[in-house]
Parts: sequence; structure tokens; C-alpha cells
Amino acid sequence: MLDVMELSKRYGDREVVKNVSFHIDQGEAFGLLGPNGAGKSTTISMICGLIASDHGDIQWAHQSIKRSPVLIKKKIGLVPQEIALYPMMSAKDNLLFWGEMYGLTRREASQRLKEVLAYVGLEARAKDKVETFSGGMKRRINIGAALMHRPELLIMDEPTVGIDPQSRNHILDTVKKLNEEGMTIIYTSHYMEEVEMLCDRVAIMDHGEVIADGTHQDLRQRLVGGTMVHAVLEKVTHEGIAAIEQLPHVEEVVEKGEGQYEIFVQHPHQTLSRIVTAAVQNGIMISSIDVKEPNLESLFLQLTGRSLRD
Amino acid sequence: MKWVSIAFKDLRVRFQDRKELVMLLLMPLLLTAILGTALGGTFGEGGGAPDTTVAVAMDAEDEMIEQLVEEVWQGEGSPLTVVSYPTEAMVKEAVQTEEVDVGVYFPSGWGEQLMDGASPTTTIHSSPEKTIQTSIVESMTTTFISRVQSQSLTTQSFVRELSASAADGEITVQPEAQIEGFSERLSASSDIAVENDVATDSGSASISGMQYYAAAMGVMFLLFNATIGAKSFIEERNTQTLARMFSAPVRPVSIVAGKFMGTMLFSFLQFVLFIGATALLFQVSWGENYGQLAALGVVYSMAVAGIAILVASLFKEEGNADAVGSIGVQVFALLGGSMIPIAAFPGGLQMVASLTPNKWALDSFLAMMSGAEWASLVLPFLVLSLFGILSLLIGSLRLRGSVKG
Ligand SMILES: Nc1ncnc2c1ncn2[C@@H]1O[C@H](COP(=O)(O)OP(=O)(O)OP(=O)(O)O)[C@@H](O)[C@H]1O
Ligand SMILES: [Mg+2]
Repeated sequence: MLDVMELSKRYGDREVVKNVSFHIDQGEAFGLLGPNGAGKSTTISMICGLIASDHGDIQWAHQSIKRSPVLIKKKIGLVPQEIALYPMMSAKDNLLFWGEMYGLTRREASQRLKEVLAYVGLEARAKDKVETFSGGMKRRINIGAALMHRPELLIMDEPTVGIDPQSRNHILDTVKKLNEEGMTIIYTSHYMEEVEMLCDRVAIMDHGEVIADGTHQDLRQRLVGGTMVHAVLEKVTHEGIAAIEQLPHVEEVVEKGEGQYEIFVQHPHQTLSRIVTAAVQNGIMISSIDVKEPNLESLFLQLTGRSLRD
Repeated sequence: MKWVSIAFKDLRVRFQDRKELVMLLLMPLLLTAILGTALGGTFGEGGGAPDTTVAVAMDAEDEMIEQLVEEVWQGEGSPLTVVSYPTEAMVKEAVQTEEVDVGVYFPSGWGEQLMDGASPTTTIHSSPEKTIQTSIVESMTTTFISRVQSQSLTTQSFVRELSASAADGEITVQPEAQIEGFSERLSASSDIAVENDVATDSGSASISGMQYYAAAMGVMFLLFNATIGAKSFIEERNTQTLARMFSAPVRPVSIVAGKFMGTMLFSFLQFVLFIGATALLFQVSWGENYGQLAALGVVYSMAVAGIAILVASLFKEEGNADAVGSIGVQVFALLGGSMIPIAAFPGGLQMVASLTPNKWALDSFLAMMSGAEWASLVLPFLVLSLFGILSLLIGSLRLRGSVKG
């Protein structure tokens, strides 16, 4: 349905999006994961026709958005990273206004209003001014404003930053429900738990590039060591660590400080006992050791050597 | 019709802002009341007054003296005839020999002192038989002096306070305190009962002080919409609602048209409310022709809304637009005759005044108050429309470059 093809964008001499490509199918929930400044918002802005790309193309049903920007804008609902609402107006008036901006008549917007308020769970506060809302409630109206015209593709740019757990859960539930009802979703975040929970497929961005993409399954397999073993060690020696690294199926040992080590391995159950043996033989004491299921965080860590939220 | 939604959304937001409403709707009424009652009165005794010949001598040629002599003394309907003499002694002699009725001598620096808000000394030579003629000259002169003084004093300081408070986004209105303060300043600056005329060119119907100040204040306070409209645009850009509109299927033309119409609609409403309120509260007569009034409301609101778009294209930060806008309103109000009658300006400045839309609006009001023909309003209306259209066009072109990317 949506093809992003070799997209690039530079500001001055900084290339903030580099040759980004991905494809999204109808009904899919697609995650765009990356740390601050990775280029997620810039990529989204290009998809929405807010800024022009320097290179590449974006196609909706094999039609370039450059050729028919308005047609495509009607099908997209964008939830911007910032809360883009009129604080002096009520939630209801904001929703009606944005509905009209997306081409609904006043009447159509009024009819849709109730459903959208129900999605975001703010029926009771409809008549209150947005400026009186909590951060989480503002975010929910911010999402509601993008739902008024029943978009085919909902693009959400970090819809849960800086809000309370209750609003966050509500938003995640809403997104899941919308997706189950058939809405295609692009979900941007630097919370890998959210992306793992909501999205079928994920692209991981860093420094403007897609460094990995695919289903969770694909990405797990791309982990050099399929599994991460987390160990807390004492009396560590160089020889000891070198001996562990040389064990079969051990891909990499990353020191995390204070005696903590992350060991990436292929076959955790056979390898675990070998790691323990090697440690003991080298005089290393093991305070604790456990096997972590691979996740996007560990993949990102491995690909970039940095944690997602450093 | 997305521009209609945008315009009405703006109107709705603007009516939510209490501070702004006080400034735009109540302030001009308050100022009109203060200025109009303190400096009111009508000039209309020209018809019954005896013809008078005045001898004039001055140490130095001076723009203010020129305005007084040419625009006021020799204005239409004035009973005075002016004869110039090179020295004060010769003026004295002419009065003694009854060659003239009254003699007037202006010392050097007369106009400068007046512009600084001081009371310059004016010597009037007269003979005991000519008391009526003398008092006519005296009253016309003191009227001119006090109008220039008090009008510049009050309006300037009022606007300065207003814009100072507008700039920090805080407006505290204490009408009683301000009226008191201003009455004090007024009585200090003019100790004469003011018999007032406005130096208009149409001599058919005379205009009262209240009428003049109502027009001047109405025109000046409508000008604030240029800043407010620009700020509303910049705010949308900075809070990303503008970007959100661009991500929706809204054409840029509709967005600019909506923002333009929002400001224009509000200005027009303000115009109607102000005229209605002054007519009801202060019995200000705005002329007989409501069609002309409405047309002026439309073209002037258009000019103001166009300038708002232009200003929006010049600034990135609301605060800057606000600061520069307030100064702009003061300069425009000063140049356009809302503080000192334009007739008191030197010739060069009068030309510059024509670059301000409020000057054209004020002229139109004054003309309409004394029963102008449509034909005489074509030029100012055309100029005001052009102001609106041109600044809208230039602003849109500039915005097209800056909104995206
Ligand atoms: N208009 C601009 N001019 C110059 N640089 C920009 C502009 N917009 C974005 N950038 C830069 O491009 C890079 C990518 O920004 P972008 O907002 O796309 O990141 P992001 O992945 O959305 O990050 P975040 O998680 O913080 O929202 C950043 O380094 C940012 O400073
Ligand atoms: Mg972002």
C-alpha cells in the first residue's frame, strides 16, 4: 500500500535521512524505532507531504505522492509529535475543526465526533477547553483529531512521550483496537516495548539510516547471538573473559560495568553450562546469571553499541 | 470552504481572549470619552464673526506657525485675513494706524516649544476698540496650541502604556485611575476652555471634538488587529497547528485566506461595535450615509488584515512581532493623524502620512461626517483596498517560502 523508496533529506551539510526504504501492507502495524534525532519525524514529515525529500519517492498504491498530494493526504491521519491543538477551544471544537480540515462537512464531523471521543475515552470532557486538560488527555485529543476522517493510514509520531501510565495504556489499547478494526498504522517510538507489543513489523533507525527491519522473528534471527545471557561476575580476569569469548556459540561479551556482563550466544541451553565452567576454571565467581529473551533493545545494542535511550 | 472554517475558528479564539477584547473594544471607547469630553466643543462661530485683518510677524519661519496661519486662520469659513510684516515694530505700527485690526508676533522657536509640549509665548497687539476681533484671534490660537499639546500628550502616553503592557502580555485596566491621571495632565497642559475646530478641508459641516477623537481612536485601535492577526499566524506556526493543517488536504491558499478573513472579520466587527457604541453612548454622529460607513469598514479591515499577513511573514517569534507591532501602531497612529492633526505636520511629513492606511481611513471618516459625496471617497477606498491586497500578496509570497521545508 505504501512504498518508501530510497528517501533522503539533508539540512545544510547534515544528512538527517539517508536512503531510507520500507514497504507497508494494508492492515499492518509498522513500527519505526529509533533514538532521539534518528530521523523518524523527518521521515514521517516527508510521507505526509509536509517537507520535500531531496531524493527518492513515496508511493501510495503505486502512485507517487508528488503527483497527487491532496488525494493521499485525505487517506492519511497524522498524529504529530507536538500537541497541535487550540488550547483556548474545547475538545469538541478542536475535533470538529480538524474534521473539517480533512474535508468533512460540519454535519459529518458532528456525527463522527461521538465515536472519536469514545475511542480516546474523553466523552465526559468534550466541552472543556483543551488548556484545562492533563498532558495525557491532550495527547488523546491529539490522536482523536487525526481519526475524525477515518483515515486508511494512521501515522503516530511518539504519541506516548511524557504521559502518565494510565493515559499511555489507554493509547496503546486504542491503537491496538484501531489496528484490529483494519486501520493501517505507522507507530514511531523510542520505547521498544510499545513497538514490540503493537507492531507486526519494525524498522530500526539510527543516524538517519534504517539499520535493521523485518518482523520480530526476522530481527531476532539477525541478532548475531540469538540470545543474551546476563551475568554478574566477581574477580574477573582478562584471561577469563577471553576464555568465555572463545567458547563455541559465544558471539560477543559486552562489559556493562560494575561486574555486569552481557554475553550474546547462539544455543543458550548448551552454552550456559560451558560459560559457567569456563568462569569457574578461571577463578571468576558468578553472583548471578540468567538468560534473556532476545528483544529489539538487545538488537539495537548490538548493532550500534549503544542503548536505545542513552 | 476550509478557509471559512479557519476564519471562524480564529474569530472564536479571539473572543476567548478577555485581555485582548478589553484592549480592542473598551480602550478606544474610554479614550474617546476622555479626549472628547476634555477637548470637546464645536467650532462654528465663524459665520457670525466680523471680518478681521491680522498682521503677523515672526522671528523665524516655522512649520507650526505656517499651519496655524494657513490652515486655521485662513481655513475655509474663517473670518480672518492675514497680512505679513517683517518685524514686530511694524506690526505694532499697523495696529496703531488701524491699517489692520489685530497684530500677532511669534518669537523664534515657537513651533519647537509647542511640539515639545510647552506653551510658547505669543504676543497679541490690539487696540481697545477691537476686543471682539482680538478675542477671535486669541481663541483660535489657544485652541490650536492646546489641541496640539494635549492630544499628543494624552494619546502618546496612553499608547505607550498600552503597548508596554501588551508586550508583556499583561494588561491591567484601571479605568478610574487612568481617567483621573489624564484629567490632571490635561488641566495642567491647557488652562483654557477649548473651542474646537478640526482643520478639515471640507468646510460645509463642522466637526466636533468628540467626532474627531472618536474617528481617530477607532482608526488607531483597528490598527492593532494587524499585530494581533500576525501573532495568531506566528503562533500557529510555532505550535505546529499550521504544520498540521499542511498535513491535511488543505491548500496553502485556503490557509492564508482563512487567516486573512479571520482578522478582517474581527476588525469589521470591532468597527461596527465601536461606531455603534460611540453613537449610543456619546451621540457621535458618523454622517448620514451608512453605505459609506460600511464600505469604509470593509476596505479598512481589508487593509489591516493584509498588513497582518505581511507582518506574519516578517517574524518568526510572536514576541518580536508584538514589540515591533506596538511601535508600528504608535508610529502609524502618529503619522496618520490620530495623535496630532495632520495639518500640524510639515509638508514632507504629510507626504509620508499618506503611506499609512489609518490616515486614509481617518480622512474618509472626517469627510463622511461632514457629508461627503461618494465620488470623493473613491480614492481613499481604492488606496485602502490596495493596501490590503498588496500586503496580502507580498505576505503570501514570503510565507510560501518559509512555511514549508
Ligand atoms: N528543520 C530542521 N533544520 C535542521 N535540522 C533539522 C530540522 N529538523 C530536524 N533536524 C535534525 O534532523 C535530525 C533528525 O530529526 P528528527 O526530528 O527527524 O528525529 P526523531 O527521530 O524524530 O527524534 P525524536 O525522537 O527526538 O523526535 C535531528 O538531528 C534534528 O536536529
Ligand atoms: Mg521525532
